[in-house]
Amino acid sequence: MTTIMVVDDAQYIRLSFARLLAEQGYRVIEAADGVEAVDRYRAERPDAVLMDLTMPNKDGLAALAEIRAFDPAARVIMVTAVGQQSIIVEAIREGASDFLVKPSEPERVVRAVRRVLAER
Amino acid sequence: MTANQEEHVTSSSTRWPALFQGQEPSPLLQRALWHVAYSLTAMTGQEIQVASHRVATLPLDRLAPAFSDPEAPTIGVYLLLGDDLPGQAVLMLALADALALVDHMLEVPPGSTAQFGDLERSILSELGNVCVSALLNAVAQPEWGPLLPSPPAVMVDMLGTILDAVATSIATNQDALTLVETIFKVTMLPHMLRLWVIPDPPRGEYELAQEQQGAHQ
Repeated sequence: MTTIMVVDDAQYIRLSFARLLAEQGYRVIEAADGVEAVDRYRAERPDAVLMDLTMPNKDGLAALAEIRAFDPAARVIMVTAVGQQSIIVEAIREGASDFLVKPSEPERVVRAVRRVLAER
Repeated sequence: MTANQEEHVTSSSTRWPALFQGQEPSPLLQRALWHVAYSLTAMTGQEIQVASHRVATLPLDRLAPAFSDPEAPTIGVYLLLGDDLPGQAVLMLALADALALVDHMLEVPPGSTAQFGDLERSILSELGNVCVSALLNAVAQPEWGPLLPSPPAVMVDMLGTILDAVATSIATNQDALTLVETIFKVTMLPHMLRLWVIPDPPRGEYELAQEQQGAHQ
């Protein structure tokens, strides 16, 4: 089963995305910060990641860089409320597959996941 | 706003002046506040509109008495703003309204939420995060560095206590607080959402001289 990892310090966002993606038939695993995201990625190698940017312990860009260093083929979609040009450029430079600005419509999230999975 | 108060705002950072125009938020900041309302509407599924906004300077020791009911149970979502636009923001709403909003967002019957556990707090955190990030996204300029808010902190207390916490976080050499206050009307709620954006107090002459010296090197 295709596994998606949702990384966000906000439990509500993890719950919303997990519900949305489970309805689409995906297996969902969760991480509450960048440190846990890197650990779980190494352990479970999910097929795609939805990653928040601003988190305690380790932020999303740092976690993205570590995940991509471990697995250059990792598919990571940044999903963050911070949608500024400089951040988007940095995320893409670090290897983000897509960038969604919260609040994101559920259809856009699902579309982005399908797109990055299709690129595998 | 007096010349003194205007200096307070404009000298606090090289970035803030673009966001003020006399006693009013600048057109850029006003557009940003509308963007905040739009983003909160998209997040909550409830129509949220800007009811009013103003630039105000309030004495630090009289923040709570400025409100009609400083003992009102209130939720405050507090965030620090990024280095390039140094300051703080706090989103405040009545406790009863916060409970109603949480019910709505969790899609549970009205009155279901009685207290704030981790899940409920995370909804309010995200509300603050989306609110302040939308503001920063809208005012950010290409030549500026990224404007990143801190992770939000949710306070559940009397309004006066929350305001005291805000006052305590301000530099101790200041006796007044200059802020942009925006009032949002939420269709489903009886009370208003109140957003305070508080630029950091001005740096002293020594710090400004050091900063200018650094810029010329």
